[in-house]
Amino acid sequence: MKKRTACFLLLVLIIGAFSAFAATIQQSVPKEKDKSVQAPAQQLPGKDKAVQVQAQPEKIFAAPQNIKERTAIYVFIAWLWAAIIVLIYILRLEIKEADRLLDLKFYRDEKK
Amino acid sequence: MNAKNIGRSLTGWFEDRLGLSALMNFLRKKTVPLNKHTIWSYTGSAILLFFGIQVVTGIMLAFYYRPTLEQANKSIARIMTDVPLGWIIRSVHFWSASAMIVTVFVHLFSSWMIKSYRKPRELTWMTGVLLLVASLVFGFTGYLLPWDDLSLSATKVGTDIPRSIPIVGEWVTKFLRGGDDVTGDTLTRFFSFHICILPLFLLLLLAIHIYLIQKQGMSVPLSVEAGKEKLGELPFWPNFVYREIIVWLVLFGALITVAVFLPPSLGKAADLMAPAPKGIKPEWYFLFLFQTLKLFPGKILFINGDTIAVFLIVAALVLFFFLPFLDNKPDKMKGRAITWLAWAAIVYAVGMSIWSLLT
Repeated sequence: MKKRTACFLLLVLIIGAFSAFAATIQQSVPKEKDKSVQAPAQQLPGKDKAVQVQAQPEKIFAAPQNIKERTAIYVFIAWLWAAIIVLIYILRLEIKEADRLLDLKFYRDEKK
Repeated sequence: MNAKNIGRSLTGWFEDRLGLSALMNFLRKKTVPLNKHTIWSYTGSAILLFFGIQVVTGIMLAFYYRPTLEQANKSIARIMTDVPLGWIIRSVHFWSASAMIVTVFVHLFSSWMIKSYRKPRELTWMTGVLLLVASLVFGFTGYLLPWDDLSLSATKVGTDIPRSIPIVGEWVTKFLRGGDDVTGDTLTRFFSFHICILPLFLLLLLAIHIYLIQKQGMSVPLSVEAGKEKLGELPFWPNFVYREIIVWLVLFGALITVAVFLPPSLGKAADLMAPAPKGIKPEWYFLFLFQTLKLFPGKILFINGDTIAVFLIVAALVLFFFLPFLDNKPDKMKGRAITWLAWAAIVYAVGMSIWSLLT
């Protein structure tokens, strides 16, 4: 029982830390990336006023572009898998207990 | 009044009004057959998990997506660049779609091999085939929504295929496109299909499918039915459910990891006047059909090759749908031949898909 309580508290701690971290993850594709994917503005000939036309980027790639965002993503994934591993451990304990009760024919006695 | 008493009185309040204890009693009595094929039983709930993720991420994307000619591509670009974590939500939606279709195929083929469609489970199989078709149509309609060059061209090719069907072909193509060509009307039509009509259709089929499984129980392998093997049983609640949750957690973690490290890109907005880009290909789950169509020549005995190909594909789907009635003697030679046919179909689909990717 103490083991399960400890696991549960650890899980709450992991989820809490994970949520706090997730809230600080910045949006990807920083402003400097926009410049690299956009073609330079064009000036159309034969016009009184210069018309700046922003050419559409060929492709938009979604991914963290700087080291800070990339690190945040790796840490996010690490926390996620840590939470999953802890949950799987707790579930395995529950499965062991449920299978033990099944072997004891505990539920069949209840149905009777 | 301590927490336990509050819990008991709350449970009692809901029980008086909803009568959920009947459901809990049913779940406690429900068992899962324990044999070498039990592992395939996890695929059904995995499909539900991915479908749930699709619904949640789809709703989140729909908050920002605009299904118009001018705004579709820009709204996706905005989701990917401006909306906080928008690129992850889109990536999860993208990868979950593929994961769901893979799991549907695995679920269907495993049912084919184990012959779960034996009496009285014929309707379960038939609703399952319709669910597969619905999942593929989901993928097809969703593919157009980013409205980039690739999706426009793929939709033009895909909606052109029914044109080869005599008499009704033109009408079907016009119905799918909302006109003669793929335009903004096609986009709004596909969006309506994707978020409204298909989800309702799929939920209805799912309800029937799950009801039939609960009513008839899960099927047992032929060897158990023939008395050659002894049947082991595992209670659905809580033994099997706990095991299922482990599978869900691993699948969820894998999905998020793949979505974060391999997010899909977005091409530039489609130009209706531009020619199709070179090497246009549909999504992976249509590749084997695409390659099959390419095998047929222009004319076969004065009949259009595409028409023959479409008829053959539709005929195969109809036979697939009525498989429980064709395989009415699963333990005889006919049944074994149909099992080998399943393996042949898998090899064919995988082989044709790889060939299509390489050419």
